[in-house]
Amino acid sequence: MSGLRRFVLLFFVLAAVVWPCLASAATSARPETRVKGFDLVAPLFVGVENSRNPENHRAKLDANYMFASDYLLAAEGVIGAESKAVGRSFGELLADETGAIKIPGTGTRTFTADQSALVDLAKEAQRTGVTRQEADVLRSWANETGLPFRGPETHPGRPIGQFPHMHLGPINHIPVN
Amino acid sequence: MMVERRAFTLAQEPTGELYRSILAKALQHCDRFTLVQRRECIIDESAKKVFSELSGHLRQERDVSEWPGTKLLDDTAILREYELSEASVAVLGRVVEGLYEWCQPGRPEDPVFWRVSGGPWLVTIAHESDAYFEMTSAEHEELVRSVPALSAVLEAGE
Repeated sequence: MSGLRRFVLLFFVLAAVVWPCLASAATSARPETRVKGFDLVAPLFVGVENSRNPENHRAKLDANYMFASDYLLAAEGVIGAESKAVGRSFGELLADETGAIKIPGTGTRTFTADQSALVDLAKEAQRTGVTRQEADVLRSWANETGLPFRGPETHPGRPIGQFPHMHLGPINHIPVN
Repeated sequence: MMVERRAFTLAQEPTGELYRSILAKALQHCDRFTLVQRRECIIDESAKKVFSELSGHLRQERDVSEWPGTKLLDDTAILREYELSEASVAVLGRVVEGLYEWCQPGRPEDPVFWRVSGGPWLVTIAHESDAYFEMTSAEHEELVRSVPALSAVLEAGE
């Protein structure tokens, strides 16, 4: 009985000592890059890997979401974790993003309240898809608020965007039904 | 016997010297190129300046709902066709540093280089960071031989 008690005690002592080390090792195994506002974080390589391997398409979409396609997303935070597409995941960056974007050649800007609301709608639309009529409405709102808009369009025979889709601000490949 | 062309995708954006090498090769294969102006997407003063710089090389301008690589579902865009020459290539090489910079609002979009014999030689879908050559295997070999840096970034399609 006392042997069993000693065993249980030893188990908890070991768990208390070993677990934080394991957790720390797991965290440090994820390469991390601390970025400052408006640092460019290798969008090029996203495209590279995506075209090589269609299964990384999702990673490209995530990265586009972060990079706003051709735009550079403002970021303060940590890019961590592994991803096949870029060697980094942008999930943490997404959580930390400030909402500001920089468009090459046009300087830095932040979303207005209207733009921010429209981007939220576009995020939802990316999940649910939109009709052609809804796409028209989103387009007119994009024009009113000064957010970039492309589509609806397809890219026949290409690895990206074969399905009818549109782009609104930083949100890409919103399905258009 | 007709030798079939197929797509060779650029797996990463050609920039700097590689971009300019491609422009130089285009001069050997092509006699014109097209640029698109999308109506649903704003253009700014710097894009208008590019149009102005290229205006002397303009051959024709027309409304289209599709061009190589892209098809619009509802809208039309303005497609401008230019003569490909040393002078126009100099403009293309000067106003951007990479192929995917051809994107509104700052630039016209989607340069496509057209063969003398017809059909596209290089197609660009800049906002998707996508571009591909349409070539025969022999043309591919010749291109990679003359621009070795392309061998690392060209992928054969189906």
